[in-house]
Amino acid sequence: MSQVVVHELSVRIGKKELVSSISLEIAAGTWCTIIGPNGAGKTTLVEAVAGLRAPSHGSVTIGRKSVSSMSERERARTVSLVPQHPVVPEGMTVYDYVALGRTAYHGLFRPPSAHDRSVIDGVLERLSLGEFRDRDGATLSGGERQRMVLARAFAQSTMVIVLDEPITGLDMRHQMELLELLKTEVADCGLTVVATLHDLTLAGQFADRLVLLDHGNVAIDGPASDVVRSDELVASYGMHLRVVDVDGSDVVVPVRK
Amino acid sequence: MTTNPPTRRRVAIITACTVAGLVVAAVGGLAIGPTIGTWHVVGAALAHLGLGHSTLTPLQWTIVWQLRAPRMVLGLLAGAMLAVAGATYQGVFRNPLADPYLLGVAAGAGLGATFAIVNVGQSLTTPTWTPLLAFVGAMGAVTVTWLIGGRRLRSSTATLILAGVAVSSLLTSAQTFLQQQSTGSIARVYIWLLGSLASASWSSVWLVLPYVAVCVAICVVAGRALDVMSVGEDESRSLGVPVRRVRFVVIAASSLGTAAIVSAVGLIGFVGIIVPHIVRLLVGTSYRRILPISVLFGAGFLVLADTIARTVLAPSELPLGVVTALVGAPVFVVILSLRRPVAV
Amino acid sequence: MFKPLRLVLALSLSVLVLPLMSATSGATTHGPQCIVSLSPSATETLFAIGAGRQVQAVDKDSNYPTTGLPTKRIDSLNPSVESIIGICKTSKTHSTHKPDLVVISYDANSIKAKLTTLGVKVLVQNAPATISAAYRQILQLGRLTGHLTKASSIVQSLQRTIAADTSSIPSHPGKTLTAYYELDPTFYSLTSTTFVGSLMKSLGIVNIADAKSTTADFGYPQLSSEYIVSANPKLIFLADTVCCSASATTVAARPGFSSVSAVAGGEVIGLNDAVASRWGPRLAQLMNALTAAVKSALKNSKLWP
Repeated sequence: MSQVVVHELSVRIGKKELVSSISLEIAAGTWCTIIGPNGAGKTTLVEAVAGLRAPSHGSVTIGRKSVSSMSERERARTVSLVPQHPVVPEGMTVYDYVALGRTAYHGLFRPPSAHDRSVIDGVLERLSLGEFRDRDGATLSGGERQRMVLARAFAQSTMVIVLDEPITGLDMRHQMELLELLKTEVADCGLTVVATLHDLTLAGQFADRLVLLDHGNVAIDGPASDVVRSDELVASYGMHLRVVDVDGSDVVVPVRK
Repeated sequence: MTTNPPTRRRVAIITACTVAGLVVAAVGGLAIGPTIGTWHVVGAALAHLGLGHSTLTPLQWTIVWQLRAPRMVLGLLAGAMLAVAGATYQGVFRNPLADPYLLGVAAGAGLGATFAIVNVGQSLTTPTWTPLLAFVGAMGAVTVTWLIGGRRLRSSTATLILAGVAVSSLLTSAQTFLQQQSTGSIARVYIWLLGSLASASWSSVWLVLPYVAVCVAICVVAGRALDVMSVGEDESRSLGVPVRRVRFVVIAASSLGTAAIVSAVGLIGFVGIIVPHIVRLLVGTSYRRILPISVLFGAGFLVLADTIARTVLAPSELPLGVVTALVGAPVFVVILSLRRPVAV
Repeated sequence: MFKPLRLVLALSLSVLVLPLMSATSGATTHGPQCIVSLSPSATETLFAIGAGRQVQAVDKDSNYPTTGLPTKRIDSLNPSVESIIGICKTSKTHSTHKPDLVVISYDANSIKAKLTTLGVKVLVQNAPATISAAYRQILQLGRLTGHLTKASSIVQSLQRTIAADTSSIPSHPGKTLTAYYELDPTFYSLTSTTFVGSLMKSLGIVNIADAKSTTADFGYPQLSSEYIVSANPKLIFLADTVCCSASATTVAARPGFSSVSAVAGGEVIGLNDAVASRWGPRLAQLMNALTAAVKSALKNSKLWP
């Protein structure tokens, strides 16, 4: 049973076709990471999955409903987004920022309901943000701030979450922390994750499935352990890569020749 | 040390102070003036409530009720509308320099009023046309700006602002041309442009009231939406906000209310840009708080400025825009130095 | 053979004719032939004293007399020296020469200095402060244009009219005739230090603007509706009927004004903007209007309860 179905999706911005006729199916409760060199179209693809870019051709359906045909509120309850460069407004408390995630539920004219408030409290708890409730969100450190953005996405209580380079700029510890949080959510709540990542090792270690994008097309699509060893990967990145097994985990290493 | 955003208690105190200031300003607007002793007016007002007796002559009562009262009420309406429109624009455009005249309202109104005033001398228009043409000019300008910069599917706030700049420049130069052709009317046009509450009457109050009431209400209710939109267009959409629709409604309401005010009182500057900043420094960045408090603060502020404008050099009156700047700028500087400024 | 003879004949003829030309031109017309008037009052005076034909250009606000004004117009607030210099054309030679006289009431763009260095005679006639100063200006124009006789008779006629008007006002002990003189709907007024103000003063009018003006106003203070209503004048003169469509009805519609004595008693008098603001020969008209208003107000029982 596929939760996210991308069918012959093409996205054109201006004269340039950034994504050409891509088809993917992502099962519910799985983690799919999109990899590929810069300019491959990763961001455009995931934004289209999140409903932010209108397809010039083809469609994206989530749970058998086309994303473009949903109203804004319905879409916000279906798929949430953690963008590459989130805007954290100054002067907004962590609580209020995470509460933004409930906007699609209580609407623009009502305050969060009791249920909304309990969801927000639960999310703050799960992501260890309770102590920062009343702090100005802009004063958090990088790792804390990214957790806060993730918390907002979780507060949307969606079945699908889309993340665009969620660990850029974080130190190793916070990178692992964030990805583990996501993994737990997938395991506990059946969350479907569609993410883009630069780091091939981490991509391979956390995702169930990798999709390699090159110049707007799917180069290879399959289980993580297969894709990291594929010739297409080497060809796409145009460099020497070796996959090393360390304690049962695949580590992708660039090799200088 | 990190400063937390203001607590609810602090906001409540500030709201109470603002309301108190508003009441004092309103009473001052009625009671203070060059021709009648202040306490006599207060006494007369109390007399009407059944306490004591009035010492005002009928002529003096006429002055208070027919001249000062509508002027004070119009001042409240104008201050409230300009302040909330400025705050709303700042929220929609996420730009601290936005003011209610950004999208061409001022240039359009100026052109309309100039056309009316110039042609009165040629017997083509009557003075009653001035507010009407100012209103038409203002709304026309905003409409053109929206058509140029707001309709395309992926238009950003930046294209709207640029369209506003282009439209304003064009209309202002047309106005200058008209003025040059009729130099005898330059003084009258200039006086209109400076903005003044001196022509206020109960009929102008009733005319303006419905617009201001509706538009202020729409803007205040949009506070929550503006808060969500502070994370930018893409993220707001992903959170479920119909961004383009909200933007349209909010800009339309602010512009309509501002156009109504401008047509009645001319171009009063400073209130729309500075009052929201003062309020933001006091109560934080949430538009749910900024908008309603701007309404109260702006109303009291403008009536206070008008009272000063009409008493300091009586019987001459200082231009209202000059007084708002002279009074407001020091207040802003003081508050700025006491608190770290918060970005929009 | 004939050619040199013809040449000599032509030359000698032209030599003879030239002095004749200048002699005749000197005899038939005297005084400046090309006058530019940048003051509407001076324009009215020049035409009234018979110098109209000598006026080749006026400013944009000159609109009286209604016929006979030259078509060339100069913007008096932003005059260009170049366009003024090129105004005059003599019909015989079709070449342009400088104007003989330029009359201004306001020195914009330092036009006086610029024209004087170019050798043009500039006459500055600002708004006079008294009636006698206005008379002097009319006489001065008469002298400079060679129409002194006509100018003198106009001045004498004005003096007679004004004296007659002033003396025709009955004495009114115990009645203070306060008046508000309006220049525009934003309550700009004038004091007794201006020429219109001095006319009113000579008729016994008490100008409500006098009490509140300072030297900074130069005689044209701005009042406020509150002050005017509180002063409760018995007479209101409107000098903004043309520019701004002011009338007794519009004044009555202003907030607070319906209770003012002048409005309630029907003594709101509209004056033609131009007549009320110029100091030329139509002063008589203005004086008559003011006098009639004063007499009517003194007899109006509604004003004196």
